[in-house]
Amino acid sequence: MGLCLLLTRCGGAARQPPSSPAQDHGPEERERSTTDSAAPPAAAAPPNTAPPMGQPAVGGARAVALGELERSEHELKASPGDCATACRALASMERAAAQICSLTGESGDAAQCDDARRRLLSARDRVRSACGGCPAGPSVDHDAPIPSTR
Amino acid sequence: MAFLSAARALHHEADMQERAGDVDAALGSLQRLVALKAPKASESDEVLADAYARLAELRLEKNDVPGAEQEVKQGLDHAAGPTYFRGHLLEVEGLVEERRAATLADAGSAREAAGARARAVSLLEEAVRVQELVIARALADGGEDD
Repeated sequence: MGLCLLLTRCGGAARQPPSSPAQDHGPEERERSTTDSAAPPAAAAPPNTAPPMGQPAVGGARAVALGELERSEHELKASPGDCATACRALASMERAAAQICSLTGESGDAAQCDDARRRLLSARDRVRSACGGCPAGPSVDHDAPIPSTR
Repeated sequence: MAFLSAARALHHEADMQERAGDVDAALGSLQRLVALKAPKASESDEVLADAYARLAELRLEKNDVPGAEQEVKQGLDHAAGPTYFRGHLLEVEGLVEERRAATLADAGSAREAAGARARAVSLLEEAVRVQELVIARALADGGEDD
């Protein structure tokens, strides 16, 4: 539900054409409207496309919004069931990788630890991109310690 | 349906017993679970694989390495494909071998301990690969392939 609300907000922000001065949607909209006023007129700028180079303020805001939208779309594609499975598997993977590194650390053989760590970090990135996170589960932060939970 | 409901209740019972520190009672509840007559369905296999993994972990807590190994083997009979449950059982089997290695090392059997440690690493690596595949499949096209 929260995701849907987030999606509505992000999607709305990114897809909405520049608001006309006649419509007032509150302080947040007003602020966006002010920012957008620096952009070319609506007729000259097709919606849903990044502005031309050389307009960092508007481009930056849109890039952030588009990034949010893209992430939300990924989250929408991955169902809660898929994410629950992925998060459980990630937790198991993390525990196994930690044990491999602990065991191979004793023998000084880093290759197996490095391989397990590489696979784990790649899986973290993948789960973060598709699910956003794992509530009460392992971290999906690329730089989190291994294991991130106990 | 009755099987799944009974399994849930027994897991819950084992949770409470474990929280109370009564590992033997938790083992008893889970043994009752795996003794239930399960309908032939993949869902039943998942429940049983999960229960055997938990039984193995509890046996390890009691330092019962052969018992834990036995539970893992029975669990693997219910988890043939690359699923979370198989990956988890391999992870637990790796822990079993790791414990065996420690016991052997303590007993002065350095060579056997090294062998058990190598098996542990190999099993844990397999667990990592299985879970990697599980994640890839779960998230491929938003799980639409599943």
